Amino acid sequence: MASPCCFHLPDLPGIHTLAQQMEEEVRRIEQKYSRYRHDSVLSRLNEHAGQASVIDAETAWLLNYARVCFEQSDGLFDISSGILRSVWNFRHPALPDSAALQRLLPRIGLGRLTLNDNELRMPADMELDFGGIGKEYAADCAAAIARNAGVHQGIIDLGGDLHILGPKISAQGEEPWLLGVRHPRKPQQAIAQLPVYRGGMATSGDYERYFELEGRRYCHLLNPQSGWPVSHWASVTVLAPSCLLAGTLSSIAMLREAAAVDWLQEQDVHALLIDPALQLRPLTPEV
Amino acid sequence: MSKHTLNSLAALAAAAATLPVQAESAPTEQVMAYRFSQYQEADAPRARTFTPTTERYSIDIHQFRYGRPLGDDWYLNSEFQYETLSGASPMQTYQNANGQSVLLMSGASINETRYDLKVTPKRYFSGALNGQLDGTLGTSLALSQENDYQSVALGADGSLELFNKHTTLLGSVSMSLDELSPSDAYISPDRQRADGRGKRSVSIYEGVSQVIDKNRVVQVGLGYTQLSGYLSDPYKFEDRRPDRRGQLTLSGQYRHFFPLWDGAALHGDYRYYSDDWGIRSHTLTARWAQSVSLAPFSFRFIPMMRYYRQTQADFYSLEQNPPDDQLNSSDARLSSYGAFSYGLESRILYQQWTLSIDWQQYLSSEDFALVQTTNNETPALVDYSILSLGIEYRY
Repeated sequence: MASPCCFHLPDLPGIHTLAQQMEEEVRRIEQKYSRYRHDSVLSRLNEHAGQASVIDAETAWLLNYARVCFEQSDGLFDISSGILRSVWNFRHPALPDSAALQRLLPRIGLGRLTLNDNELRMPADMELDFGGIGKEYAADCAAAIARNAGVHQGIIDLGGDLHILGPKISAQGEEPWLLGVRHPRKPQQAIAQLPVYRGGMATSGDYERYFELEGRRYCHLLNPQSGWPVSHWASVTVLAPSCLLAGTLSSIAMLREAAAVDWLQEQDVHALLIDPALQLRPLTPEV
Repeated sequence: MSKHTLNSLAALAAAAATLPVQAESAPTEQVMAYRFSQYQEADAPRARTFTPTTERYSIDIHQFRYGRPLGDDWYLNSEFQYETLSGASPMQTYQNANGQSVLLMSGASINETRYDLKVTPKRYFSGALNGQLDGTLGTSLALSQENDYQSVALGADGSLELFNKHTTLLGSVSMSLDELSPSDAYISPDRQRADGRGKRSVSIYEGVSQVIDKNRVVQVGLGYTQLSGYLSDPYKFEDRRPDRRGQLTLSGQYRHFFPLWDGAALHGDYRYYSDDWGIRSHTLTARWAQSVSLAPFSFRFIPMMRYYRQTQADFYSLEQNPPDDQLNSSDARLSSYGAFSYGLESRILYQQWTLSIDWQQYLSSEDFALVQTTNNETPALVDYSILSLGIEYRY
C-alpha cells in the first residue's frame, strides 16, 4: 500500500497477533485488487475484458457495491474511469491532448457491464480500478477482525482513511477521539478536529495528486463524463458507519462539486467541506 | 439515472450491508477451553431390585480443548477428556412368576477412570483453483483408554461448497478398533470369553446442506455404520448378541432465522434409525436459539426439547435362564421404550471470554413409547440429569 498505514489498538494480551492478522487481511485485499500486480484478481478481470470472467463472492460484492455507487452518484463515481490516467499525468504540468481524451470517454461507463453472483462480463475496451473503494473496504475488514476478537477500542488508519473501532476509555468514561482533518494546502497540518466515537472517517481532497498550471490547480479527481478534474472543493471529509461508506460519500461529494452540500445534507451525515479559499463548511445531520 | 434515490447513504449502506457470502475459511484464533460436567443417574426403584443396591452411575467429566491455526489454511483442534465413574449398573432384568421385572444390580460399586484424546487437523480450501473450489478436508485421530477397554479411531471428513456456496456437500468416513479386557475376568466365563476380544466399526455419512433463502437452511443426511466383533456386554448375565450389526440413519435438520431481538433461530431436527437387530427409532428435537446483547455482554439462551422412541431388538427377552445357544439380552437399551428430554444451554460472552452453563434432564420409560407400548416392565430404564459449566478464551 502506497500510503502509511497504522493501527492504534489497546494494549491487551494477544494484541500483536491480532494486529498481524489485521495486517495480513489488508495485504490480502491490497494484493487481490492491486492494479500494479499482474497476478491480481483485478488484473485478471481486465485481461479478460470482452469475455465472461468467473468471480468469487467477495469480488462480486465489491463490484455490486461499485455499481450502486455509480447509480447513486448519477454516473460520477465510476471505477471504469481509471483509463483517464493515460492522458492525465500529474507529474508534469501539462494539459492532455483533447482528441486523445475524447477518444477515451466512450470507453468509460460502469452501466455497460453485466454482473451476477459469480460472473462478470465487461466490454473489451473497459478497464476497472478499485482505487476508490479497495483501501476503505480493507479498513472495514481489518476492523471486523478486531471486533470479532472482542476489541472495541482503537483506530485503523489506512493512509488517512479511518475506521474507528470505538471510543477512548479514560477515567471519565467513554470519550470521542479528536481526529484531525488535513489542511488541504499544508499536508502536515490539521485544519480542524472532529470528535468521533466510532465508524468510518474518510477525506477526499484535491491535494493527493495534482499539478498547477497558469494559476489553476488540476487534481486527480476526474469527472468521468467530461474527463476533466473537479475544482469546487479542496477537500470533503465524511463520517459514516463504515470507512467504505465514508470514502464513497466523500468522493461523490467532491465529484458533485457545487451540488455536494445539498446532496450530503440529504444523506444526514456529519461532514466537513473545505473550499479552495480554505473556508470551512461543516454539516451536521438534521435532528 | 433513474435508479438514483433521495437517500443515497441508505442505498449504499444496503449494498454494503449484504455481506459477501464468504466461504468457510480457516479460523484465525486460538481457543482454550475447559468444561466440567456432572452426569447423575437417578436411583433404581427399590421395589424392583433384587438386592438393596439402587445407586446407579455418577460421572464427573473434565474436558480441555485447545485449537490453533497452523499456517493460513490449517486449523488444529485437540481435546483431552478425563472422567471418573462410580456407582452400580444393571446386570440382568428378568420376569418373575408374578409377571414383575426383577432388576439385578452389580453388587460392588464400580470406580473407573477413562481418558480420551482427540486430535483433528483440518485443511480449508477457500477460493483454491482460482476461486473455483471452496471446501474443507479434515482428519481425526482419537484414543480412548479405560482399565477394561481401549479404543483407537481414525476418521476423515470433507465438505464442498457448490452453486455460489448455497449448497454444501458433506461426507465423512471413520473407523474404530476397540479391545476389551474385562476387569475381574475370573468372576465369570462371559468375562473370560470377552477378554482380548475386539470390536470394529466402519461408518460413512453423506449429507447435503442447502440454503433456501437468507433465513432458512436445510440439511439432509444418510449414514451407515457396520459393527463387527464382540458386541455383547461381558458384565451382563445371559447377554449374547450377534457379532455383526448394520445401522442406518436418515436425518434432516432445518434452521430458520428470525430477526427477533438480537437474532434468533428455530432448529428442528429429525432422525430415523434402523438396524438389523430389529431396532427402529425416531428422534425429534426442537431448539430455540436466542441472542440478546446488553453491552458489554452478550447472551445466548437455547432451550431444547427432544422426544425419542424405539422398538425392541429381536433377541431382547426377560427370560431368566434362556438356552445357552440362543441370542439373548435383557439390556434396557435394547427394549421398547420412549424418552423425553429437555434442557437449557446458556452462554455469556464478554470480550474474548465465553462462559457456559448447560443443564439437561432425561426421562425414559417403557410407557413413553406412546404407541405399541409393551406390557413388560423395564425397571433398568434410567432417568438422568447433566449439568455443565464451561469457560472459553479466544485470542
